[in-house]
Amino acid sequence: MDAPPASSARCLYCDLPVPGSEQQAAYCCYGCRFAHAVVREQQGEGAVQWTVIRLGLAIFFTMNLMAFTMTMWSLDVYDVSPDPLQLTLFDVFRWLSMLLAVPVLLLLGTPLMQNCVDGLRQGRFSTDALILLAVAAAFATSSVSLLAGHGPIYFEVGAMVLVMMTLGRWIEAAGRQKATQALDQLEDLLPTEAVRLSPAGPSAMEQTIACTLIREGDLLRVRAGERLPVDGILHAGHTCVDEQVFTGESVPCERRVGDRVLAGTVNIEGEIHIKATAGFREGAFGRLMQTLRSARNTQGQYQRLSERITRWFLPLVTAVAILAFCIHLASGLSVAIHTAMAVLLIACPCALGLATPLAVWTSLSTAARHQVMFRSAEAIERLAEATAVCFDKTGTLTTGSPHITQLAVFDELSETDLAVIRTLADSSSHPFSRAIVAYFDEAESTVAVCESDDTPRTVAGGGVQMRCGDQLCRLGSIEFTCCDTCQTLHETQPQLCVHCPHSAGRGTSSPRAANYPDAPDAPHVPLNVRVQLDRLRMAADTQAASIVLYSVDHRPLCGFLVSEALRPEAAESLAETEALVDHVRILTGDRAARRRFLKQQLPLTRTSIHCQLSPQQKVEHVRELQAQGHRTVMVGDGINDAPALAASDTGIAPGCGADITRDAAAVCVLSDNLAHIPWAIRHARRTRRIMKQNLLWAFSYNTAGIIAAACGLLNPALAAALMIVSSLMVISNSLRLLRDDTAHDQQNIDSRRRTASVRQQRATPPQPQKCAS
Amino acid sequence: MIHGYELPLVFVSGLLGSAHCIGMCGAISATMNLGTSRLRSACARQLIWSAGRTFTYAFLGMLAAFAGRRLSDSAFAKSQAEVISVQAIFAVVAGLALIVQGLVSAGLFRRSVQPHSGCLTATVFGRFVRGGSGLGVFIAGIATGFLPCGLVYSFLALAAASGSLWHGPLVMAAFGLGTMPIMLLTGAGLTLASLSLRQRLMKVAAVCVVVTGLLTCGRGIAFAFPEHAQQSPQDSCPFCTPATTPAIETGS
Repeated sequence: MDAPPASSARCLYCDLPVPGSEQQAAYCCYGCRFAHAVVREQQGEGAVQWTVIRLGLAIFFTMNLMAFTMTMWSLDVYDVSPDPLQLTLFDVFRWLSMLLAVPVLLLLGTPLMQNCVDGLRQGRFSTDALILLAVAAAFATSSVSLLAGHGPIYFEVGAMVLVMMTLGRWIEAAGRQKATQALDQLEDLLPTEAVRLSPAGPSAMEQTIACTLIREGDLLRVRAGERLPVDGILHAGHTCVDEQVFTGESVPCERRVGDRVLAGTVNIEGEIHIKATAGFREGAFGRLMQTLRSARNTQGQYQRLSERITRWFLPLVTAVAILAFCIHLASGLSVAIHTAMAVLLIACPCALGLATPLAVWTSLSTAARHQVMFRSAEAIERLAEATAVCFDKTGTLTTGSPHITQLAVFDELSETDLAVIRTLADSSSHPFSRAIVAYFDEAESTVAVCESDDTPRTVAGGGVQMRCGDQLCRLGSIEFTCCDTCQTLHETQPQLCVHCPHSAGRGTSSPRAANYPDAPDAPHVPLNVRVQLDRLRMAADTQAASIVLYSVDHRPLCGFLVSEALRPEAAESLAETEALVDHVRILTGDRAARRRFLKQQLPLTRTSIHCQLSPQQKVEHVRELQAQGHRTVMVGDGINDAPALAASDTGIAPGCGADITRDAAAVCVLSDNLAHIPWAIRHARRTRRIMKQNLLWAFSYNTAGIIAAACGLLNPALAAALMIVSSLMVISNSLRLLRDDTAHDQQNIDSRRRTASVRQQRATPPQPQKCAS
Repeated sequence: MIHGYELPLVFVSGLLGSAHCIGMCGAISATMNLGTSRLRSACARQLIWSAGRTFTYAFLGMLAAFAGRRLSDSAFAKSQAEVISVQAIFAVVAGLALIVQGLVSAGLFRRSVQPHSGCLTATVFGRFVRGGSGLGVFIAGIATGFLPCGLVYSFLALAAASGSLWHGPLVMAAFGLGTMPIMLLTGAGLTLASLSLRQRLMKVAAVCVVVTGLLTCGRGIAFAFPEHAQQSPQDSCPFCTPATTPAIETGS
């Protein structure tokens, strides 16, 4: 495990930072100490759960005590003159009360006192000691009254306070732990044991070891369905892995020998052997955890605020309690004790101290589960304030895998031609060829496989060709398909190739034509084909698409328009983002044609698209927005456009995948699903809202509570109960962040389903996606 | 306030209403038997557990009665005594709650079961109801008594309506004792009744709870009208005489 950068110690139970102490075992509060004792007893097989039983017994005694007290109260309440029998009975009840209260004091007071002593020894001061003092004083004065035979007794107050405090602190600790353990759940993804193969000869020895013992260079065996314990290089075997933990999408990615595989991903298919390239909890997954952990240790502005208040809180409360005790001493010792006790009990530093860190921690864990990694608490706060979003590059809006948007047929296409196209496309791994194959698959055409003696050949920079009978069939760029020489010239005169002297029909001088001496002289490219080709060109221009032609003997028969598809969720996500902020801009370095295409594809009203921008111009755009008073978020990969990202208030890097430390964006989105961007903004706003609510609640509760208690308006038992309620309000309000935004989840699932079904349609047999790595 | 017929009726309601208890607390009662295989010790554990539960019920009954009494004795309630009696309101509320509870267990309403996983207290509570040693089982019983339960709340309202520190706990103890026999049997691993019989029993239980509710309601209404108050409340109650007889018959 990576050590947290801050040197502060952590609570043994809830993992929250403990101030003051260094490396010694410490608990942040009595609740954690108690809860940890319970957990330890739980772990010890067959051990008596003494801690729970102790509290249970105390509750039992307190219930009895309350029953007797209620009976005695009925005397005051009903205002009837009791008969002598009742008076004798009540005298017995008074003694019974003490008898029942003493065990409670011993059972619950002792561990509380132990905690106070340990805390003081470690230099930590809490009001617990004062509360304990007040409880003891209440017991003492009641005992004195009992022995004296007159005066009020209030054993039940002390007993109730002890029970309420213990129970309340325990519930608080449980809540805190629930918030902090969400992070560990991510860590728990990694297996605990691995099978190490000793490289001794062919009959490799197997040895099951704890993952912590894995060293770099170890050879490990991972069975199908298991998660990889460490990063490594595939040493033997061939498999598909599920990198959902990094990419957010459950898509099998093919891995062959020599490929890099990552810890935390699932080996889907066969058994594989990997050579570890990093130790356990190091590498990509370790970096992920470290980012989260270091984010936990950062402080946002709200946290700094609450810390400033908390620093003054304890001394202030102590002073108020002492003051209240002195003032109320005039109306009797018992009243003074009760008032001081109520002040100490109602003051809830827990609510104040937890108001922001707990919200931040839960928020970070929930975001991580959604593949959104905030680098600091401040990043959440800043993102929440965003009023303008710039999308840095069109690459973030497109899928990265092109598809066919149009098929233009210039001449009659025979079945044989279709079969040839299919065969040619099949032979190549170029994304355009794949797009054509997917197009055929989507159309569900039953294209026969071309029967030819020749095998397709790939011509670098041009396309694929093969001889079919006595014809030369080509699939590729305009230049490549229409003439032999222009493919080398296309950089300078692309528009000329159909007309150029080397084009079809005049190809006799073509050097390559000599390779096919039996090629008949094809007719010149007819006018109608040229017109259609021009149309296709124009279409390509408006859509910012590319053209793939199929030609037979340099005579184009049909053309495919290939364009990069927008991500299926792009329009929806941008519209959502528009709804969340005032300004959305798409800043791209692409040609101006892109703008028309984007405008057409994205029915957005308030998004402005700016094309042909240099990195410096993007920075200017960001600055301009900032000058208008906007908190600007930049969405970009952070490599090409680092200046703009740095200039923005918050940078979001989508598609970080396993490379979380790749750039310095304040927010990293592991997956490249755009839906995460509006989600992250909403989540950040929700977090900020909850932090504000928590702070407001804790502050107003404490102020009102302490004033009421100091005026002597609160019964200590009630104050103890209210203190629990206050902490629970803050904790459960923060825990709301653990629950997901269901609307978003539904969308996410829907978009995943859509993507998955498109993929399925496009790829048969399944083509493994190239994973971000 | 409490009449001779009421405690037995509450007992019978508890007895037959325990079909509900088995559904809710059956799993907890089963865990009490962990670590023992002998029938005798299993029975003993169940008895201890139920005793703990009943103790809590009685305690809650006392609290409710105290609160009820305190409320009806408050200055406000006394000043309004001419208009309405707090006890009467309690009785009507309790009666309505019982009727709804009975109708729910008769299957008239579908209740949406809420998952409790989100509850913070669940983790803490879970520790208490684990059982273990005899003492642990007793404490588990006490904790179980505090579990939220519609049936318990309805009877608590009844206890509050009684307004007496003696009768409140008695009502709840009668209820707790009523739930004991069947919880004991099922908890000890015995299922005497067949499924169809259990379903029929559940219907009878529902009727019994509804009858208790009607009685309580009727008593509240009778109590609310001072001109009828001279008569004994059960005489003025339209449901008492006809309703009690069949309910007790079905129960026995």
